[in-house]
Order: sequence, then C-alpha cells, then structure tokens
Amino acid sequence: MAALWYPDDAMPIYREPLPENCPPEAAAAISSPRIVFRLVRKDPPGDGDFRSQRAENPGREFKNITECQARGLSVFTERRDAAERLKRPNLKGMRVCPVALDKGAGRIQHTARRTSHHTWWPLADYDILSNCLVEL
Amino acid sequence: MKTIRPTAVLDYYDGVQIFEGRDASGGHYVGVLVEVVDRVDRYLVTGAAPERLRQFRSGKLDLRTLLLEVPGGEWYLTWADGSGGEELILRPQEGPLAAREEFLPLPDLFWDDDPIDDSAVTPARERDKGILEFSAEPPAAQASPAD
Repeated sequence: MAALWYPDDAMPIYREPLPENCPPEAAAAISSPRIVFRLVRKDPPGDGDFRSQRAENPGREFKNITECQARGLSVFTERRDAAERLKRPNLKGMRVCPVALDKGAGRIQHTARRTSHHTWWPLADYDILSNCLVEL
Repeated sequence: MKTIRPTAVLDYYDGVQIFEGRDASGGHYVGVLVEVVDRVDRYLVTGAAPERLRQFRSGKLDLRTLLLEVPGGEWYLTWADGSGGEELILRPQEGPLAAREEFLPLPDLFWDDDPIDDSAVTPARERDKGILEFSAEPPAAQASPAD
C-alpha cells in the first residue's frame, strides 16, 4: 500500500512489521498536523511507552483482536477521553501525553463508536519521543 | 473449578481493559484488567446481575459500584495469557474486595463506548468464530450468579 505523499511511491516502513493489508484501507494517512493523546508511564516518556501489544508479547496469541490491531497503538484525539482512562486500575498513575503528529507519522483509524479512541500505526522514521511532552 | 468465557469487550486501550463474560450456566460476569505481570494480563472478575450490568452498559451505573455490590462478596482473579483458549479460570479470593483498592477502578467510571468497530476487526470476526462480540446492545437477561 503506497502512501500518496511519498516521493517515488516508496512503500512506507512502519515502526514494526505489519501483516498483509495492515493498516486497513480505512486507516487515513496522516498528512497534516494534529494532536493525539497517549497514556505514558514515565516523564519523559521512553520507547517502552510506545510499544504495541505485539512488541510487548512476541509469542502471545491474541484471541480478541486482530494481528493488525495488536501492532497498533491506542491514542485518543480528545484529551478528556484519555484522562477518563486513568480511572482504570491498570492505568492509574499514568500520565497524559499529547503527541504531535504530522506528515510522515503513519496512518490512523477511528476504532470506537462513541469515544475518540484511534489506533495509530507509526512509521519507523517518525520521532515520537520528541513530539510527546507530558502534561504537568 | 469455575470458568467463564468472555463474550464482549467493553473497553479497550492497548488491550482489553473491561470485558463481559458468561459461565456455563449463563451467569453474567464483568472483568477489569488490574495489572500485567510477566506479560500476563491479570483481571478482577465478579458476578453481575443482568439488570445492573445493563445499567452499567447504558452509562447509569459506575464500574466500582457494580464490582462492589455483588451479593456474597465473591470475587475472583483470572489470568489471560492467550494460551488457555477461550475459557478463563476464575480463582476465588479471600477477604473483602473493598479492601483491595489496587484492584478497583476509581469512582465514577461510567462506560462510555463500544470499542473497535473497525475493519481491522471484521476479518478476524469472520475468520475466527471465537472473536469477541462488539455490540452496543445490552446483554439479554439470563440467570446470573448475583440473581
């Protein structure tokens, strides 16, 4: 799947290997500046805050999601939706980090009905950490 | 040994945070991810009356209340590492759940979504009959351990 903004129609290289037809066609290429919100454990955040489920669990069989989903990152486009997640036992104590996305950040898809939950498949060259500043 | 089968993902963030499940006799349960230990997801599980579960799914009841009000105070932990098939083994826990703050959500956690309604899921649903249901409809009223 060639991204239209790439010179020479080069195939994009994602942060981790993706299965065929992933990201799905419904995932939009990020072509202009936008902010998404990610929960992180550290300030400043580290690479570990942006690892997919598959990267965290290389040998695991996921019963409830696709391999494509397991290789994406959960983010929100509305800050309040991210902050609401901090009430969950497993997410208590995490912090909300706005992440600035721009052309070359990868592809993103709205993956919820009523909240702003999105799945983001970052490109390998996108410098995530320098674009993520944890809120005070 | 009590087991349940997850039937619906209610909340997703880098993994299943909250799910609904049923046991072999149709009893309703709710599970919430409490921690990940050695890459294994550990869930708190309690029984839930169908009507209260319906209220939670309609945003009228918060998760903490739903978990704490289970009659008899029975609560369980289960581990989901993906190796046990569809069934989750419930391990009964001692002592009141109310005393285990680390396992409980903060107050006023109202369910606000049906996650992952996307084309990334659809192929798996078709391929694997075991894929969890993603439905906005409340579960049908059936016998519950909390009834």
